Amino acid sequence: MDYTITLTDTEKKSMEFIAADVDDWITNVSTNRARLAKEEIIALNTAHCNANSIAIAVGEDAQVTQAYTLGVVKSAADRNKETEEK
Amino acid sequence: MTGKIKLPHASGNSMSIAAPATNPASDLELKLPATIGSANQFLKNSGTAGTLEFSNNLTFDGTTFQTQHATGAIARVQNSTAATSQSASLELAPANGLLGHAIKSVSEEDFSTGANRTAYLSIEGRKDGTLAERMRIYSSGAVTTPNQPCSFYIGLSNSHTSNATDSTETLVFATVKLNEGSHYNGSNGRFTAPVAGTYFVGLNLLIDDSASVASRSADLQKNGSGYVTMTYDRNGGQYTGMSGTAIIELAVGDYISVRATAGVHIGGETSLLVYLLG
Repeated sequence: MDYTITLTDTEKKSMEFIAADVDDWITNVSTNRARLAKEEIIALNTAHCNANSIAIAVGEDAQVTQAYTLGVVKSAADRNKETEEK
Repeated sequence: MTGKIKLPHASGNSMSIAAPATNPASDLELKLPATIGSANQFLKNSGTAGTLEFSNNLTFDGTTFQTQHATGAIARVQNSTAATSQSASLELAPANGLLGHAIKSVSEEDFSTGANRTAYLSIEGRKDGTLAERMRIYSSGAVTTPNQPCSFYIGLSNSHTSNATDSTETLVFATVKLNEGSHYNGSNGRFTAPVAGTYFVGLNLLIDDSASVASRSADLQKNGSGYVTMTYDRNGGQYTGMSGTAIIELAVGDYISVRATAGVHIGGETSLLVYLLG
């Protein structure tokens, strides 16, 4: 999935001050946060499947998909929507 | 018949002061305060039971509950059961009326005698809906923070020849010993800071005996740029231990990695540790 962000010239210069490769820094922040979230989702899905005698999907990608399918996790946007609807 | 004093309002309705709902143990008397008090003061018994007065040292203005004393103000939350695992808590609910943090004193003994009065202090915090202990101060004074970010990895997954890394590159530590919070990524060799703060970094390298005789070094890099050379050596052709430590200030999302020259032994004698100092 590609996401595009726009930095001003000043923001670009500021980022170049702290990172050798700005694109790499931004990508690392995102992918690392996604990695942590994936670990959390897999842990929640594993606990749910074990507690309910459900076969755990094979592979990390499949387990994240399974967590959404089973309703073990919901996207933050969906959680916000549910809160607003109450 | 229940006695009461009825005070009618000019508009027609009234407010009454009535006798107790149940029969008192004897004929009792409550004496009103001699003043009308000040805003936000509580009405309480004075030093003489039955004589009411306004408290000078306890107030509540709708936002702040305040106890005040010239030399030592105390707010006390008390549990009266003499047993282990009893607690007294101060709960803080920052939003939506829900608990965010709790400061809890927990009895480790039954408190029945002086020798049996030991307690620890627990600070709990809520993350993603779950409340859990984040800090404990033991009766001895020892402090534990079970979720303090820290990582300890050994061994390398870098490409290698005869157990020695092939080129100058980022070391990717492969075997996790400890990775609280999972902030070290064993796939790319980066520790990404979860919170802004000062971090301690420790590095232990073993130069492989198959490495050529040459100078060896390992640099700590911050966001892909050199921060400090952690260790340097000119030996080669024999096993040589090299180590270094550093502290580094990181903002949220900043990452650190170790870039080293070729010849580093890939086994468990090579290790990296990172932890948050504060």
